Amino acid sequence: MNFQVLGIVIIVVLGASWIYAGLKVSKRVSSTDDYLVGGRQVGLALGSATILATWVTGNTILASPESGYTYGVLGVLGYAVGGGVAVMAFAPLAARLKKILPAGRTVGDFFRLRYDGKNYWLFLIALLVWDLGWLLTQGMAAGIILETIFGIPFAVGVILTVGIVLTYVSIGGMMSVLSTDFLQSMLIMVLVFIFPALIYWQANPREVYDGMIALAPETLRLDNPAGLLFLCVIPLIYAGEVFMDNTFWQRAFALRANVLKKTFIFAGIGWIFVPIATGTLAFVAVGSDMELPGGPSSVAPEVVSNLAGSLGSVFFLALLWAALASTMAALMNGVAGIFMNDIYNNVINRNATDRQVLSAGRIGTVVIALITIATALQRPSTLLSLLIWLGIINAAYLTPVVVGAFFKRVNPTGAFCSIIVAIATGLVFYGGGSMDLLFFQIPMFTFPDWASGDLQGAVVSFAIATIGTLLTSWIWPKHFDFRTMRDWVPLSKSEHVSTSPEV
Amino acid sequence: MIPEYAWALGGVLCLVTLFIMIALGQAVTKNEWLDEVEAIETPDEGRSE
Repeated sequence: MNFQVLGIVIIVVLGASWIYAGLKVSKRVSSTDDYLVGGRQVGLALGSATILATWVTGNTILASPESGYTYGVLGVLGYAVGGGVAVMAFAPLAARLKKILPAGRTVGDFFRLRYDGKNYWLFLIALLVWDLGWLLTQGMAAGIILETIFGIPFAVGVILTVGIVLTYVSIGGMMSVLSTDFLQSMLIMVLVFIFPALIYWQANPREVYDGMIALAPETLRLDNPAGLLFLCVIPLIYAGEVFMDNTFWQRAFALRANVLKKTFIFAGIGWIFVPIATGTLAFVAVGSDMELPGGPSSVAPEVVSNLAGSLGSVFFLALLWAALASTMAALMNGVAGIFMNDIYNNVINRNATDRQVLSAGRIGTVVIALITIATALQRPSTLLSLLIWLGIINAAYLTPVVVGAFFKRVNPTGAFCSIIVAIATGLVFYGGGSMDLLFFQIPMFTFPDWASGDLQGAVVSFAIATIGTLLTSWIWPKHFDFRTMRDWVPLSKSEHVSTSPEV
Repeated sequence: MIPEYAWALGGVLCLVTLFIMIALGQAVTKNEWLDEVEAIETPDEGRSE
């Protein structure tokens, strides 16, 4: 069988099984709550699987080897521990959210009810850019991988992947995502242990280790300054992503209260093993002095094409495609949730019935998929930079989210101003003294190299947002009654709402 | 001191601060929230009966 046809066959077979699983449960969707938060009764196994499948992204498979190649052992450790700790740190916050906002559907609900209009809109814009940007990178990654490994045209790969995911997500929403996530996470966990073993079987671990000692001994050192910086700061960026991203908030609202903390902790621990397994592939490239024409970001595909053989390539595609599809499905549902809940039901049509909101969500999902395809086909080169850039913004939101959920006396205006100053200053550090606004820069200072970068920008952004929010709330406290959130009912569900998931 | 180590220390301090805020938040709201829940839920229970 021709290699290109093999790739398409794998995609079609996997895609058909996910569409079948997704559509089978979609009949249970009868309300907006079913579509966005899976009926609010999700248990431990399904919950851990969906968090794992969502958080194992295309980046986890492709960027963890890049971290290993760039920073050595500390890069793989940083990537793995950082992402896992971020999910585990969200557990207590998720438990608190379930108590204070039992009828919540999206992170927008929290910001709208807890803070004021200016905070809500600023956050919503940042969130939409973040989630859409993330969705686009997954679509593009699918196209690039299918093109690189199997020679399938980029446009075909993108349309096929987004089309398959759209088929089950648009109809079944979170219900379908939960069902397919379970299958995908099982596939990921099995393949992630088989695939690196297969590579090391070919490469010989002893030769890889000796090659690393001879060619790049710094990659094995645990006091490598650049690696230590990455290890210590990357959890902050990951925490910003998790605490801000709507997909995690939807899962917090979807889980049963009695398993909530446990589920996030188990998912975080389980996740750690995935980037460790894939990240170590980089050591094969380092130890064998493999040429990387596409730079460090191409390390995983290069290792696969050099060592995996046909069977390994099939495993790699299945692993990566499961990761991409599961994240894409969660993000499509997450962005649709923001559209139907925060924009349609709270701005466009405040009198909409639950059925109208549900229909808006389904149409919104189709539109989001079309936008993803149309943008991905342009192959925007700034997309990855956009995600790194947004890491500065995510870091600024960490403290307002945490203190807003737990403490009554947070000053919304103080938090808003602190976020603005934190983001602006963080972007100056990110841009090496010039405020980097992606498409243009505003020159302000000239920073030395050691003070410039995304990691430095995230530290500054978090520090300023934290000091500013805490200080203004201490000097000018503003009392908030959490009962207003607890008693809140979504506009479309004002007649009936199941707000007591406690069992 | 190597600048990377200083930034790494800064990152650790940020993470510690985040964890302290979460832990403090949990500690502060643990008892306080139970009182509020009781106050809200009592009339609901009466109504359902």
